[in-house]
Amino acid sequence: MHGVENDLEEWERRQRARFTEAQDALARWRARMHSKIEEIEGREAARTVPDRDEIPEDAPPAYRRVQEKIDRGELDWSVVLTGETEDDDARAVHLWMEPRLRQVREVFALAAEGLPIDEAVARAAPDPTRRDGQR
Amino acid sequence: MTVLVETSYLRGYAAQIEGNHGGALATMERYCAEHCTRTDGLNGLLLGTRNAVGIQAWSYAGIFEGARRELLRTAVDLRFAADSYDRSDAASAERIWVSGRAGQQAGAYREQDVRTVGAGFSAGASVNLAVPRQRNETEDVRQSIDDLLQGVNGLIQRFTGFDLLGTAMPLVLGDWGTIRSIADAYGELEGGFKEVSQDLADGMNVLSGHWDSGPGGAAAAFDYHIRKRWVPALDAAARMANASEQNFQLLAQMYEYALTALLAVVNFYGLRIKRALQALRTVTSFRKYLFELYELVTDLYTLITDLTDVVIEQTLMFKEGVEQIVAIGRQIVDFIQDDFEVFRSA
Repeated sequence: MHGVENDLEEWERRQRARFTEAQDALARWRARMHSKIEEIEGREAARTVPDRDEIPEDAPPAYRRVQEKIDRGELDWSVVLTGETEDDDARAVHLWMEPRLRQVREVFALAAEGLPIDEAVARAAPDPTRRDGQR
Repeated sequence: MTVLVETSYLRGYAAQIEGNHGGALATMERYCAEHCTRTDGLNGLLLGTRNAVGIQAWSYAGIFEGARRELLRTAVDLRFAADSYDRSDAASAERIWVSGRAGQQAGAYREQDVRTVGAGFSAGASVNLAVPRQRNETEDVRQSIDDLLQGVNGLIQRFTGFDLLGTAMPLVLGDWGTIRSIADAYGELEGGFKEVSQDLADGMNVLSGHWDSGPGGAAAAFDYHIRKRWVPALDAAARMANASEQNFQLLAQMYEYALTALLAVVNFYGLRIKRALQALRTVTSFRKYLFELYELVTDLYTLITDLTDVVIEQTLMFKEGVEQIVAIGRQIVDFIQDDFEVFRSA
């Protein structure tokens, strides 16, 4: 049974080494995750929190009513995004948001085609501060 | 050649061996068939381990089958030897253990007479195999990830094209609790093999002082047969079961670690993506917003797919580990059977 004993010892040695490698791969993944999280948290800490009740200048009159319905739990914000609702106010806000939603879709579609994200954003969402019409 | 033999001891040990054949090993065989073959919960990324789980259990089934068959033959031949001695047919009794077996012996093996033994023969090893706890350890993680992503996944998919829940699903469908239960079962089998090995060695000690047929005789051959064949083979099977336990434990450990990490990452990103989508209607710097939303979604997607790759690598490692253990099991079966093949052809 010496052959079997040796094989078992060899198996244990090899399997432990491979397990350590797998653990290292997970540790690397975890380190990457932590670094990303720290980066995002750092950005969040530096950001000023916008006033939740602030209404965008160009928002339709329905905007405030929608906000109130969401607060009362009568409406979910997700249906405002999808527009899949019978609520006229929510549909009005959805229509007002539609250009932004289209731009989000476009940015991700362009990036999926391989365009660098900054170029995808520049193409899908023109900078409103620029007056030359360049996208 | 002078033969000193108390045939009642040969029969006593034969009964003990039969006890291991029909008791301990049969119990272990049934236990393995029931608890080492579980595949419920082996879904998603663990689906590929189902086959390995089956192959591993099949390998033990081969050991049980071979060990039980050959142990029974040992008992039958020991009784035959006892009957032959009683008929004053010592030649037949000697032949059945000596002929055809000399090549198996390490030179002039000397029988180990043990003069002080505690008890008499046993009824076979007493194995108490604990039923592994049936666990479903992934359920909470699965539920949490579902809760975190379910509400927003449709929106994310609709606006970004990324199906985060679908990407994470193969990971969360696998249940490491099943893997851990199987590991526990192999741990129990390890103890069982050790018990049987110890029981056979103890019985041999009892017998040794009551059977002596001189150097190269049947008593020495039988002593060798038990101490140098059966006991090491069963000890090797115990170590093999320990290796199986380790292999399953390592996979369960790694999978648990991966899924706990996945939950942490989905928790962090899921909440932020949800918040980002809610902020879509109020955000003032829309271009900056787009960059950040893209980063959040693609970061989470990449982290999930990278973690999936790590787990796939781990399951491959597990499967290779099983294949190697199966090869070792084949050696153990060959070791047991070769011995008897030679014996039968004598």
